[in-house]
Amino acid sequence: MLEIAVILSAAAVAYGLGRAVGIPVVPLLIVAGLALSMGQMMPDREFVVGILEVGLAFLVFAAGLDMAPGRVGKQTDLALKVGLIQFFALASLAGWLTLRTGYSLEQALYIALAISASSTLVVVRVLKKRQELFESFGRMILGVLLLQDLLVIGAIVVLRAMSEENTAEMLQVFEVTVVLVVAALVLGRYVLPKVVNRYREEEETLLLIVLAVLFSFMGLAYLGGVPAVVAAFLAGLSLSSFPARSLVRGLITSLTDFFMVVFFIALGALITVPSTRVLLDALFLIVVVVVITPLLVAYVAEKAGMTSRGALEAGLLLAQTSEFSLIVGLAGLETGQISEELFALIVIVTVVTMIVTPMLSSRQSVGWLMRFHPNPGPKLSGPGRGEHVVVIGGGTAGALLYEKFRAVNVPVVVVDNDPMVVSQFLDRQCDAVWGDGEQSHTLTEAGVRQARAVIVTTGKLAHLRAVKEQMQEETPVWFHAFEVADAETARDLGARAVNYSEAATDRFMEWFTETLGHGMTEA
Amino acid sequence: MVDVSLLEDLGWIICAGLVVVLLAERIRVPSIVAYIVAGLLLGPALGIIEVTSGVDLIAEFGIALLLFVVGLELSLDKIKDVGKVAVLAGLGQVVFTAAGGFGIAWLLGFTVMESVFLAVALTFSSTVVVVKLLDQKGDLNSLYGRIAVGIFLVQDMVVIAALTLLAGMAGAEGDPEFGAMVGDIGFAFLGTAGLLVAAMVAARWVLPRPFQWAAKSPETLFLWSLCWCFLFVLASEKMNLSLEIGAFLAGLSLAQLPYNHDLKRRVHPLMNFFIAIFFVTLGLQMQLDAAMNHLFSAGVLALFVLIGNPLIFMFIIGRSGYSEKTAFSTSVTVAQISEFSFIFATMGLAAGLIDAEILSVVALVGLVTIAVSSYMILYSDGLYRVIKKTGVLRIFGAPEEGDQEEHVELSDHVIVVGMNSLGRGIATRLCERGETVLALDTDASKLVGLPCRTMLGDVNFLATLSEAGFERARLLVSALHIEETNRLLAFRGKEAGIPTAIHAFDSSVVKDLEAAGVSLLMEPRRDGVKQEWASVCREVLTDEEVANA
Repeated sequence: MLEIAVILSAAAVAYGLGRAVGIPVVPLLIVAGLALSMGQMMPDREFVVGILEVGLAFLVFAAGLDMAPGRVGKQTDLALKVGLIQFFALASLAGWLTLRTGYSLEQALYIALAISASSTLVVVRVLKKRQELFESFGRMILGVLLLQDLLVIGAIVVLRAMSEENTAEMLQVFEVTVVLVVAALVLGRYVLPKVVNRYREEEETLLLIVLAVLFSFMGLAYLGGVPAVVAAFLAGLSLSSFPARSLVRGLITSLTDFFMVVFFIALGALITVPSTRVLLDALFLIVVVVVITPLLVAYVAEKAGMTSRGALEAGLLLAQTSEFSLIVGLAGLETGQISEELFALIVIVTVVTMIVTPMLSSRQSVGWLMRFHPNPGPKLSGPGRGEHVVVIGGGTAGALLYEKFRAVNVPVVVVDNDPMVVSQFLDRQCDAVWGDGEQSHTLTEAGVRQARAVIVTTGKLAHLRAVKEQMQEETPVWFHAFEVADAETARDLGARAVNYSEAATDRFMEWFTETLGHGMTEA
Repeated sequence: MVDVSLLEDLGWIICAGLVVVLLAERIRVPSIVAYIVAGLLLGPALGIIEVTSGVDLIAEFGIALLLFVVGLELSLDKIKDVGKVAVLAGLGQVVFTAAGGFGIAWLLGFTVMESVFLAVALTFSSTVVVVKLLDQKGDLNSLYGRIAVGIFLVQDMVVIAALTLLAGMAGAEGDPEFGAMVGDIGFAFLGTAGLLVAAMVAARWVLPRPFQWAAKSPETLFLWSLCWCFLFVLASEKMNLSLEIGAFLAGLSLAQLPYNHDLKRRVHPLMNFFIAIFFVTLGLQMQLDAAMNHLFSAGVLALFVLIGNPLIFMFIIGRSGYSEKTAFSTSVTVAQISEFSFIFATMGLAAGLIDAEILSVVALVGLVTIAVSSYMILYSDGLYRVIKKTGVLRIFGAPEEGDQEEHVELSDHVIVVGMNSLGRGIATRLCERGETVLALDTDASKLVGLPCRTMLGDVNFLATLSEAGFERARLLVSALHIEETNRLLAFRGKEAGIPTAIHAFDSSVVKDLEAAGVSLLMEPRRDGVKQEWASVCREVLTDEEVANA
């Protein structure tokens, strides 16, 4: 029990520290594991490796379970472009650079793969905190991350096959992988959703079923020489359709939370103290990830249709290596294709880049870096404007407002950072500006100063502040807020606040009284 | 990095456990029995796996979590309620069962030393088995459940004393130092008292503020609680106490905080996983082959445990003022022997005080009594009705009237999930209208100041919805901004035939929610624009434009 108490205590400190200073918990857990190992407080290596394997299985299983491309929605094309180019360009660059610095081809491939993917755990946490996970920007980023997870899993299979001694064994790895993929698809389509639904009220049995799926996939993979992580991922994938995914998620959240902690701490405990050369190489790769990724992603995303600010923000948000990088490192360590020192290098790069992500991708950093952007302005513009209404945000509320103004022949200019949304408005003969409502040149382009009214539907106070700076004092401005506190702040800033949670509450109460109210009326 | 033995063992345990559980389900065999049978198949029958240190540690982890969950369920007042009867019944049963067991074993022809071991082994009932079954039945918090838990904790103290005595006897090779043993036992009792005081002091003065801070992040709260649990487990190990006592006291201290129910629901699935491994491991360790020469004796001893133990308890609890039903329900919980019995017998074997046959007899009695008592506990209500009809229970003199128990079950209420401005608005307005409302959120600070009942919890856990009385609710409302959870709630509402009003926070989620059959799609942005339009017309449009409209 000493081992478990020590691991959990270290995890408790890491979680507390992470919450207090706003750093992702993953790197802190790894550092905690390293500290325990250096303080000789971790149990023997056999135990550490044992729990690491179990933790790894659960971590990757959870990633497979979350593999729901439907969540990316209309952003799929953009996510594919950005994700593929980031992955392959960064991998090629990192591979070439490491080859030049004296590593073998196999080692360079592992490093390249480890560098090329960004962290779902870290980025999703940041997006959730900023409440951007379900916005088009967040969905695009999510798409990139899901794609990269898939690519890494595929690459791990290839690297494992490369480690086999003869062609037959190499082919066997691919064959068994194909069998597992087919099994995951067939089970996921025809069998498991029904089974999960059948046992949805019997938590204990359902948990056993889910775990049996995981261990059966891993058992088959073990027999066929396929890496266990691939099997765990496919097991998760087989349960990733709705509602199976949601029913299972509630059941295994505690298990994955627990084993994630165990995995990262055990991983930290496995690291050997690196040499100066490895540290310097790690520093070099950190610079590659932190500098090249934002530039690369920003360039590709902007070319693919994002605004310059959104593209830069996406680049900065993706500028870290992934928990999957650690899995890649472990896979290489397991087959002996990379050394413990090289594994330490991958861990160091991951820990550092994960720690700097929240700071690097903050609004302040993005704002500051935008000063150096060669062409930060909007890419589209309509005819000369005057006497129009500016609507910031072309979502549900923006579209409704446009219809209403069109009905009374009042010209509208819609501002949105999603190029697809802007195109849809332009197709409907509505003037639209593509850009971020926070940026002065976008607002200038939309003619905020000449507008007879401005309506901010995005719910972002930063947009309201930017608008207030540009517009005439007497021009009325409306601000759509979901939270009461935001509505109050907007009023303090001189805007008319539209509290749509209040409006929805009114609507709900009407419906409730009509359908379920049993004739009672509000007090 | 190629050592996958732990994974392989876990794989076998889980897959075998599932197969036997699914088969057992068809003939209404309790899952505990199925797990033990799976263990017997994997180990003694087929020899596929053995218990390794890793698996053993995971099994112990499960026991600790189980008792931690029990502690989380019980407030100090509830423990005080049943403290007296638990001590009385726990100690009384130990004396009677030990004496009776010794007599029967001796009459069956065992030697004095063997009879002593068998008697002590029969004395302990299994905390883990009973707590698991009570949890499965949802009766952990009932009066008889609390009395049973109290009794088992008293027995745990006796176990510690017995194991300490045995360790002393084994260490001294027949010439034990009784002074040192008495000192060790005294230290154990003092340690328990010390841990109890530490738990209560922490609950009152140390834990509330940091845990309030941590509670804003469910993962942090979960991790901190587990850490707290295992620090107590570690402390109890250092004091030579059972890990059950440490885990229970850790849970008890957290039970005094307002997050205990949410924590319990979070720890529960983790416990289910680990405890399944514990029971399979129990089966793995049972060596029954040497018991074949003593089948009759094992049968007699098993009958003594299955019938004698409950009779003793009926007598003690029935005389303590509790109703016949409470006395009966509590009594059937002690009709089995414990995993400690195996440990005790194994130590005796290692010390050369008994031979392997006695260990096998203990294992066989354990298997039979755990299996039969599982049925007795799960179906105790029916069993009570049948036995009551015979009139036998009257001889124990317990009053027939039921004990007063608080049962507050919400029904015809509205559950509102997610206390953002929308959720708070709806909950408040419904309350003003006189509706019974239960507000739910994962963040305790968001539940403060609401005029309705509140509950801390994550609706992704089925247990949260069950505890919220989802099946009896009139309406389920979600104001959450979480696509996946909203879909799940819509799905669960549809399956249970309960109307749902779900927040469609983005146009991209509308289609899925409509397909899920929600009764009301709440689209605040649309509603906001409708309300706003009047003031926009007034302030922005010219009279001519308004006329055109």
